[in-house]
Amino acid sequence: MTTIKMTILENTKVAKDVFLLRLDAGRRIECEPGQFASLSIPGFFLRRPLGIVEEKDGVLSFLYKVVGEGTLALTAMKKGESLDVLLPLGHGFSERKDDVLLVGAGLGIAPLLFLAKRMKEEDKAFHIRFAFNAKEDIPLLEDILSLDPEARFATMDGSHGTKGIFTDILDEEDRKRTAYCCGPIPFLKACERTFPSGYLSLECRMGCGYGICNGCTVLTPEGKRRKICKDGPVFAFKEVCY
Amino acid sequence: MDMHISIPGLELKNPVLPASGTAGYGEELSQFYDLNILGGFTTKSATGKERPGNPLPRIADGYEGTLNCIGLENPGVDIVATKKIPQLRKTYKGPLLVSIAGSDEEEYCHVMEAFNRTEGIDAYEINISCPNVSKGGMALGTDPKAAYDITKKLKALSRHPIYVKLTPNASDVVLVAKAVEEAGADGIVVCNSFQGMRIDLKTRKPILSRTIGGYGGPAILPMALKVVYQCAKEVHVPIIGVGGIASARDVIEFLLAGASAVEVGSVNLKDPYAMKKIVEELPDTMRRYGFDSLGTCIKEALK
Repeated sequence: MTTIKMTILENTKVAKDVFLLRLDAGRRIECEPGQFASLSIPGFFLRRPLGIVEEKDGVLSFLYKVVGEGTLALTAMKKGESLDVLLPLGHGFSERKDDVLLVGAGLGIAPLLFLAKRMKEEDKAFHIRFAFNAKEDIPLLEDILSLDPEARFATMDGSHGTKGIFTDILDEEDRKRTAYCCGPIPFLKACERTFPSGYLSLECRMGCGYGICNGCTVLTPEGKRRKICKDGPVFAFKEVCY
Repeated sequence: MDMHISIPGLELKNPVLPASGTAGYGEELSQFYDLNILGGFTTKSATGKERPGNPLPRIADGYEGTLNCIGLENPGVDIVATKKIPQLRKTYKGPLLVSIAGSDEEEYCHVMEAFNRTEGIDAYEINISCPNVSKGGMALGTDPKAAYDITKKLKALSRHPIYVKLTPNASDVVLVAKAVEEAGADGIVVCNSFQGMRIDLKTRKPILSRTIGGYGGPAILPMALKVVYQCAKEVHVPIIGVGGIASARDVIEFLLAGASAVEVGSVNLKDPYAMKKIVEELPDTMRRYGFDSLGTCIKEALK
């Protein structure tokens, strides 16, 4: 963990309210899929946590959605400007099994794209099952298809892939597989009910992002305290209540 | 440059400590820098039993500050005394201020008794100012009589000097400060966060799970400084100043207002290196403004 001033290489809209941010760290950063970074956006006190989509030779990619004033201000930042970034944070999808499902909803696909890239390098098989509200919400469609040409999509309005939710694009084999999941809380709960085993990545409002403030604590079923930022954001199914 | 400060139980090589609850028990910050550069270290408040804290969300961003309603989440005094403090003590050799909290007098006493048996503690901070719990905490710190009683009881029990941390949400903080001084406090910590809230325009509901939380960060500096200044005029025990400190110049400003040392809080959430930068900036800042010694500038603005 450290803080680095990074230069913006790209900050472009890639789907409805979704931006791709690419930052030059100037040196390689060791990080694993599911870990995140926290960006200091000028004019805001707390940093904003963003899931890492890729790290390649010192260039970090992020996908972010405009959800409030902070992320809105971030969209106005231009190529060449710099951002103070704290990273790498948390524990990611460190246990990578073979022949698994990557199940994402909305912008929850961001850490799963990093996971898919890493698993490809590791020669592990995976199957993408992504759900969105509509076609206009899907970022980086070509990248997704290059990672898994047979990736399946569900959209609520049927504008891309199957009309419906993620359970509508699962076959019988899928329902027996280990699933790596990221998305809104109701979606994650549905994933835990649908798949026999798996991992999920939690998102929440965070204070420090590195474990000092206790701003993001959740409990295990036994009542043990776990920090989303430090012990997570990736947890095994049934490991924490949320 | 003389940055040394001497207050009961605490020989500080510089006046910078973390504020309780913004540095945990040192595990995380020590991954960024050697904590021994700090004047001292303040632990997160411990209670009698483990506390899970409040539901999420517990954090909201503010204007030059942050709101929280953590709710005294901690592993309980037994774990803090037998695991967290010994762990911190393996690497951190400087002055250690250990924070105590509770829901009632009995719990504060139980926590202090457990810490009295623990080695490596130099002084206690008595947290009677947490704004985020339903019992104890701030309720004790807003009432001069209740503050007097708990201070008197704990002072009699204590193996170390005690610093009582006050809340600015009392109708008259100076009255509470005088009460705890009279009850035997060796020092006071002024002050905990200011109550505040924020509302999410999307949900049209308060952001924090408890609606109201404690607001800290640079935005509250002028208000906290004023409370330190007012207390310094009326009490004679040393004051540890806290409230929005984010730079070396802020540290000196609190000393001039009457603090003998300071605690740095919310800015640790924004920048893990914040206290390191402040400590490193101090000599240059002193030189720039013509301070040879920090110990001699305390209360200078009152004269």
